[in-house]
Amino acid sequence: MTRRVVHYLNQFFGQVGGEEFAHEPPSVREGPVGPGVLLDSLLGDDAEVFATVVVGDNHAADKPEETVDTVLRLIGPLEADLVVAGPAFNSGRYGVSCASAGTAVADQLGIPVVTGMYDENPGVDAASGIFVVRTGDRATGMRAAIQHMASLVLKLLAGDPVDPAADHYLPRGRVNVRDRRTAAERSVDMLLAKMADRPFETEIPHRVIQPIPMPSLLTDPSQARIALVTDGGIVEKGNPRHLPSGRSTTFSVIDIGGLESLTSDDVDVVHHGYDTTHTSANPNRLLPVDAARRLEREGVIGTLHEKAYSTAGVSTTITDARRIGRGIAREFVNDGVLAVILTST
Amino acid sequence: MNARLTIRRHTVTEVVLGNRAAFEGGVLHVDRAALADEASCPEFETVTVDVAHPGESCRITAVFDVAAPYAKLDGSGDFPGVLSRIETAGRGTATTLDGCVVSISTDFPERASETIDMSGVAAELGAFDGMFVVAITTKRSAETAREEYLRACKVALLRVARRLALICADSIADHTDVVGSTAPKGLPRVAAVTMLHSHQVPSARDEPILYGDNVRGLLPVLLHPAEVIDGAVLAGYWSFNLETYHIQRRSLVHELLRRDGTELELVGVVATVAYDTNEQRERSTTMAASLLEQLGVDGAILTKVGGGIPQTDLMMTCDRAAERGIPSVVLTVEAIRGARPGETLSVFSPRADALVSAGGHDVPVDAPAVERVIGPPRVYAVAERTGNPVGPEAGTPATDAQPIRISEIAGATSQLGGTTLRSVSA
Repeated sequence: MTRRVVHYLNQFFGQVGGEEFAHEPPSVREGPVGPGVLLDSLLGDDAEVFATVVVGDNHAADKPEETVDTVLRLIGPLEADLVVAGPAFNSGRYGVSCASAGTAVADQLGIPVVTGMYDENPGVDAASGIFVVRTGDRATGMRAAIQHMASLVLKLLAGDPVDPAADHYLPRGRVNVRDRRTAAERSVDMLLAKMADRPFETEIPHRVIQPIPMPSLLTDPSQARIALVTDGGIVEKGNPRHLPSGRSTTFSVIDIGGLESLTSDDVDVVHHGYDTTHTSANPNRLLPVDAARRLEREGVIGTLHEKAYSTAGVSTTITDARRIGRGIAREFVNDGVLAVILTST
Repeated sequence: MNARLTIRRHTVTEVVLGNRAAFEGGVLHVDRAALADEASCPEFETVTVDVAHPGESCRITAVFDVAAPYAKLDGSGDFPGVLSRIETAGRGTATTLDGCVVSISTDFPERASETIDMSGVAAELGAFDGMFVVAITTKRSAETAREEYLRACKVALLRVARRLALICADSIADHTDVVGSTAPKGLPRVAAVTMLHSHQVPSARDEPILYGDNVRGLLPVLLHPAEVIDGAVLAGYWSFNLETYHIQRRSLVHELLRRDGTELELVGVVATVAYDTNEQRERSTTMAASLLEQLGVDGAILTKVGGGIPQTDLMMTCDRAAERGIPSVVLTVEAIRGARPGETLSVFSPRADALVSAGGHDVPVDAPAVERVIGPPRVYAVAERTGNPVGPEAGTPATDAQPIRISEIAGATSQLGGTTLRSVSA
C-alpha cells in the first residue's frame, strides 16, 4: 500500500512567489511541488507526496496561532501517514514556521513529522516531538537534505528503528538505558583517560544557551507602571489554580491591588527546589510588595501593577520557560507595564 | 591507601522469619520479636518486622532508608556518633551480609520516600533485585515531633542492621575484603570530592550524616575512604537517589578502592556539602579545590546529592579545580523530563567537559499490581507532595499497578555512581 505524505512548504519553495508573496495564508494543492518532486521520487513506490500545504513565511510569523489552526484544519482531513516540512536550512522564519506547524501536527493530530534545518536555525528550539534532520545552512544542499529526509521517512513509515547519528537527525530527547558498567566505573575510566590526555567522550551534552541581553528601561521609572514577577512559586492562598511546584508549564497571577504588603494569610509558596520556610513566613521576601509600595509612595516608581506573576522555576524546560515568559510579557504589553522586577530563588 | 579495615562477608541464600536467630548454611533465621524489640523506642507506637523475598509479588512503601547488615567485631564502634561513641571509623574488622538488606518505612509522607518492588520492572531497576529485604515498619507515637521520629527511624535501621550482621559473627566468611593496599609510586593520584548533603533542604538539628553531625556549616574535610564506608557517613533524611546502603556497599569510593594500587592511587575523600547562598558556595568550593591542590592530586571525581541546585556547587568545584590545573570528572543524575539533549542540567560550566550520567531520575516506569504491601497500604499524595503530575492519585491502594518515578524506586539510580542507569540522546 502506498503511504500518504503531506509536504509543508513556504511560498518560495511552494512556487507561489518570492518575498512579495510572504503574506500568503495556508493553502493546499494536490501532489508534490518544488523540492517535493525530488522527495516524491526518492520515496519510490512505498509512499507518495499526495498533497502540499503552502504557507507564507510572514503570515506564519505574524499570525502564528491562526496559521497553526488553519494548517491543522487543512491537514486533518487528508489522512496523512506522515508530514514532511521544509527543509528550511538556515532561514529563520521558515524554520520556525516548519517547527511550529510540525509540532502541532505531531502533538494534536498524532502524525509523525520530519523536518530539516540547519543546527542554528531558531526553528530547532521551536520544534518538539518531531524529527529535525540536520541540513547545511543554504539551499544548495537541497539534494542531500531531501535524501536524508526521504530515507528517514521510509524508515519511520516501515516502523524500522532509527538513530540520531545514522539517520542525521538532531536528538529529540534523553532516554534511560542500562550500561554494562556502573556510573562509578565510567567516571574512573573517564578520569584516567582525561589525566592521560587520551580521548574521552562526555556523556551529558550541553548546549550553550545564548545570554539574553538586559533590556534598557523604556522610560523614567518614576513615570512607569512596574510589575513584580517571581519564579519562586508564590500562589494565591490554597493554590486554587493548582500551580505545580515544579516542571512548570504555566504561570499564576496574584492580585496585589490595594495590598501594602503580603502576609502568609494572602499567599502560599509551592516550589520543590528550595526551602520555602522563610518565604512562606514572610512572602515579601520573595515578592517584595512592601518595598515596592514604599518606592511607589516615595515616587521612585510610578505605579505598582495590581497583578503580580509567578511560576515555580524548578525542573522547567527552557522551551516551557520561554513560553511562560512570552505569555506574561504579552499581558504586560496589553496592560501597559513598562518595567519588571523579577525575583528569583 | 594503607590497609586498615577488614570486612567479612557472608552470603545469605534464604531468610526465615521465626523465633530464633541463627545462620546455618546460608540460611538466616531471624527472631521477629527480638528484632522488633531492637528497633523499639518511645518515639514508635508500633514496630513491625517483615521479610520480603526476591521475586515475590510484594511492594514495600514509604521506605525512608535502606542499609546493609553491618557490625564491627573487635569492639570498635558501630556507626560512631550514632550507635556508639565517636571514634575514628575505618579500622578493625567488620562483618556484613550479602544478598540481604534492611529497610525502614515511615508511616507518613516523606519528601524523599522510596518504594521497593520485589518483582517486576521496578524491581529489576532497583538496587535490591534478587535480595531479601528485612523490612521494618514503624508508626510514630503521639507527641513525637517529626524530626525526633526520623532520627528514631535512622537509629532503628542501624540497630537492626547491626543485630542482623552479628548473627553471622561466629560463622566463617564467604569473602573477606581488605580495604586499601600500599599503592606503588607513580600511579595517578586521585581523590573523590563527595557531597554529603545539599542544604537546599536544610538538615535537621539531630540529623546524623557525618559521625552523627548534621553537617550544617561543614567546610570541606578530608576523610579516609575506609571511614566513609565503615559507618562514619550516613544518607540524610532527604537524600534523594541515595540510600545508606550505597554509601556502605556500592559507591564511587568502592570503585576507586577497587582500582587503588593498580590503576591509580586513591589519595582520599574530600567531603563537602552544597549550600544555598553564593558566598557559602564560593567558600566551600574554593576550600575543596585548595584541599585537592594540597593533596597533590592529578585528578578528581566530583559527586553530588540532592536536586538540581547543587549542580552549581559541582560546577564551581570543577572550575576551582581547573584553575589549579586539576582535571576532574563530574558524575550527576539528569533531570527535567522532556528536556532536549543539552538542557538536562540546571547549570553548566564550559570547563566541565567530562560529565558522567547516572540516568534521568524523574522518568516514570509502569510498575505492576502486587499481592502484598509492607508499609502504608495506600499511596499518599505524591502529586501533592511534589507538585509532580506523574503518579497515582492520593489514596490509591499501594497494591495497584502504578507509575513510579525512577527517583522513587530505591536504588534505581544512585548519585554516588553505583548503578548502571544512564541517559543517552535519542
